[in-house]
Amino acid sequence: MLQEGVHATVEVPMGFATSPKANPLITWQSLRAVAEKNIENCFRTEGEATYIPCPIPANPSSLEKAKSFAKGIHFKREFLPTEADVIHAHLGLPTGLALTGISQQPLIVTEHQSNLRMLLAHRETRESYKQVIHESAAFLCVSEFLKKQITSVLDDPITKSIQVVPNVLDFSELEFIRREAFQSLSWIYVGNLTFQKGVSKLLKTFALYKKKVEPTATLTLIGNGPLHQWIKKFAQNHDLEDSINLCGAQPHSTLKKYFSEADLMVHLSEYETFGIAPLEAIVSGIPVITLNNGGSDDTLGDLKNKCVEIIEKPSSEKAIVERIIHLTARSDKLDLAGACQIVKSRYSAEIIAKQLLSIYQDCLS
Amino acid sequence: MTLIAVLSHPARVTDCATYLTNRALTEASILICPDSPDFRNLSLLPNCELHFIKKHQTKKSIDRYLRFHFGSQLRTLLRNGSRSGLLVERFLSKVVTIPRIYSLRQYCTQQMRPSKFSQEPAVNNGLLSELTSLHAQHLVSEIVTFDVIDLPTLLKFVDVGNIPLKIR
Repeated sequence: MLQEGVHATVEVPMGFATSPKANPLITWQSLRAVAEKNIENCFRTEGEATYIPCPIPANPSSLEKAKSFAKGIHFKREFLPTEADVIHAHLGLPTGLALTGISQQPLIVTEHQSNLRMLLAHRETRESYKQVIHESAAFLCVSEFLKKQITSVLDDPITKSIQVVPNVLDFSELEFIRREAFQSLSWIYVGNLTFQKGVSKLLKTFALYKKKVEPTATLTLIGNGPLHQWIKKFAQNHDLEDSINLCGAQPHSTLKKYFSEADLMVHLSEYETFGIAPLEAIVSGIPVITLNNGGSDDTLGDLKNKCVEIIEKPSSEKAIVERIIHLTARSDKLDLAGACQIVKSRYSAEIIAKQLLSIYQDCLS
Repeated sequence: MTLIAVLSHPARVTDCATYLTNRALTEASILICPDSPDFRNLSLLPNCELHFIKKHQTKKSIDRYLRFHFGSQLRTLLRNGSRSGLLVERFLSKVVTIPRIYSLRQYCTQQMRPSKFSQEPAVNNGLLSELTSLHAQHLVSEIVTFDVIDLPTLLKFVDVGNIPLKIR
């Protein structure tokens, strides 16, 4: 519920891979047969969310995904129509594009995906993306950095109309813990275990820190991803098995427990459109080491003096370790309580909901 | 009464595991999935029996395999240095081209007849027979599928037994 009297329902299109030999017509007919027998058996619901199965070919492009999502959402609405006044889509591609052709209501699109640079490398995708911005009643980005990127890539006057509304952070399950001292002994990372998120660099930095600075340091990794096995091997090869805690993906409600045991978040992703995990760490009373990755300038830029070290790219593991030592040395000067208040005042659900409601009202008037 | 779960694509392994683990507290289940290393970890699921279905090798693919290997061996033999070998290879390639053009033409004509293509649902016979034998042993109360690859097969099965089919 955004506000008393405002109701939100969520449609979640899910791409279901099909066999290359499968006839898409038969797959859709089969889905229809399941839905006609029992709607709930076809469209799973969880709270206000309805999940829509959308058959997609193997290794689909974002445009193919958009086509399939459009078909799936249209198909769902035949059985479960939507009574919404406005439609708010997450991601210009594929979801925004899927909705441009099928929604009568004003369409608002929020962009926050990290792989947008790669998507917009193709001319066809750029044209479709421009179409989404032109046809949406409002197009939002989660950071100034992302807006600048889209503007420079598309080179279209329409991009001037893009508004910046940050992501919402759920603070309800996090707790600020006041710590006596920060020794950078318990590192934490929350996010996908991928190369793009800087996980391999994190592991190498941790190994160096443990060897040269603090042999008792530990690292907790929360999340899943293709580097899972690589991390295990790295830990074996560097004799770090007892120091690295691979927890896998964890529900948001359990983050409080992990944050309470940590005293430093190290987030070495080279590209972020926003970066939620470092902000959650600050709200839990943990200082952050991060790279100058785009999103961090927007969200953490003015918290540098309070509890954040933003490191210029490219940086060697040695340089990162030096900055961690520097942060630990000035730990008595950190102002985490102040930083926590700033983050809460910017990204809490109430604040962002107000901004969104005002945009919805503008679109309806 | 038994719950049958069907998983055909590795992309949904985690979702399937979470779903079955949550349901394991109340009921036992049988999971049917392809015999591939992607699905081996699912054997650790509690209160869940795992049934693997072997991928059927089509005659077509064996033909292609033999053709490829025989062809490459013959080519190596002919290109062993003699000029006559090259001439024989050129002659053979022309002879082989004729049936190839014919089969390509046949393929294109088939592609242009969508009605024939769309009327016959692709049924996975291995899955269908597995489901039938399981239904004979345990009474199947519900089928949950985690993708849409085998949906036509599952529909064919549930239509006969009037069993609820869920997509999750």
